[in-house]
Amino acid sequence: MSDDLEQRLPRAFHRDALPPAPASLIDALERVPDAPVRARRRADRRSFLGFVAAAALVATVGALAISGGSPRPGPVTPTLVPSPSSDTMRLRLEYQVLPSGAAIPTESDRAAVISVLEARLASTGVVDATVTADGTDRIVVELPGVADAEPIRRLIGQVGAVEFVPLGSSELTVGQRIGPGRFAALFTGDQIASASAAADQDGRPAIEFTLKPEGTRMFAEYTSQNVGSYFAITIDDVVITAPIIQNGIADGEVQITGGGAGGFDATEAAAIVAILDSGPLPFPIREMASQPADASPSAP
Amino acid sequence: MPLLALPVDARPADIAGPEADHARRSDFLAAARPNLDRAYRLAGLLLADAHEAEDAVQDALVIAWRSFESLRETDKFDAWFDRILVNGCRDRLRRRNVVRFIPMDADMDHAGRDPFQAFIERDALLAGLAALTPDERIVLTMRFWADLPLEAIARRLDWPLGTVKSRLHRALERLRRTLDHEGREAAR
Repeated sequence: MSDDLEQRLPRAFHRDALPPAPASLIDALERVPDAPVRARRRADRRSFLGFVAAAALVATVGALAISGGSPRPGPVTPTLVPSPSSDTMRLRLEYQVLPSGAAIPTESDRAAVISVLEARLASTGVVDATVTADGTDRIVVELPGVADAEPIRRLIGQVGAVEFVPLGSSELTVGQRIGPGRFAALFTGDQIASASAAADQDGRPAIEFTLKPEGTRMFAEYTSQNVGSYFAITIDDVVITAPIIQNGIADGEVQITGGGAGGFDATEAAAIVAILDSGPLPFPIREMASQPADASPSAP
Repeated sequence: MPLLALPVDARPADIAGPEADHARRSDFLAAARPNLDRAYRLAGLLLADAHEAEDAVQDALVIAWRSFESLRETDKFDAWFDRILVNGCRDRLRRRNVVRFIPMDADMDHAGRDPFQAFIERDALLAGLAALTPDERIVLTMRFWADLPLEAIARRLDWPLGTVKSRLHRALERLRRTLDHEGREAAR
């Protein structure tokens, strides 16, 4: 019997061809060496997708709760940007605006990208950053010297497409990426009227947002009819929260908190708020080589 | 969020100087590129999920890049990378608790399905992998898909040879029991 299995298994494994590495992975490999060294604080909690594919806002796993209303929010200062440090230089980040599917970005599309980036930077408290068009398809972001520009980079590089996704009985992990076509979104981030960083009743960082009337109606209808089901909010197809619906949420006022030992920290809450508030980039961008702004230019 | 956390002592990779960094970079890419298809397929078979496989390979690439200096012989990249990748896949499988293979169902619409899940479900024998523990699935895949001898699996995964043997034995036993059970169910 065992012998038989040992003969059959290789044949079964090699009967059909398996797919090759997708283009996105080949592309990601080439960018791996460009990614800065980072610490894996909890390697089991998140995906590196975020910075190799400039896609993920990854939060921690925890018992997450989604709730209507705004229970005693305390002010939380966005802390995405560390204080400028005297021994760091102004950082120059250069991006290429990429086509989206068959759509080629025009000059006004690039201007729209720039204004989203400006909004994101402003909402996270960066002082003295500039976002300018350069050449035919480039955008240059210059930042005051910061000890750690990585959070900013990630914030800038994300498309930031937000979706509200009913999951039914599928329990997803925060940080997990939802493949295309796996779940249909109920609505997208364009139904968010405003978002802000807050604190939950225990003082932990939370994110609050208000939905527009149409989003409010859809969310109320869905949540009231699907108590006990899972529901995810995703950014660029990565789950930022995937709680169980505990009650119908009628008023479009939503607070997301991370529970358990994890939860959002103030930094990630600020980044998520910036994305929710600024809306998505109309076209994806790719970071080109970056260097300190006052470094002498080197020959290509 | 973990992604936003960076300790102050973490430094950019190019601190060693641009030339050394350039050489390290091209060595790494030259070693990694030819292994990408294989790595993706291995992760896909272990995870039965193309998207998760892609994530797992990306994670492994980042770890590999960061510790690339520790690899003395770049021609052993594939074996070295296998260990990183398989350990990552194993973590992912364990986090799932249950492996999400959907049983064969003739009525199921196969259009648009995950390619790895579809591959596995097309064959009753492979569909039986769902019943295995992560380690059992790993050893079975390394043995019969990657076609590696037991000693090579032990070296690659840094498992004792005896552990490889016992896990493979248990995997085959469990797979046989699963198939027998399904065969009896089908014959009813």
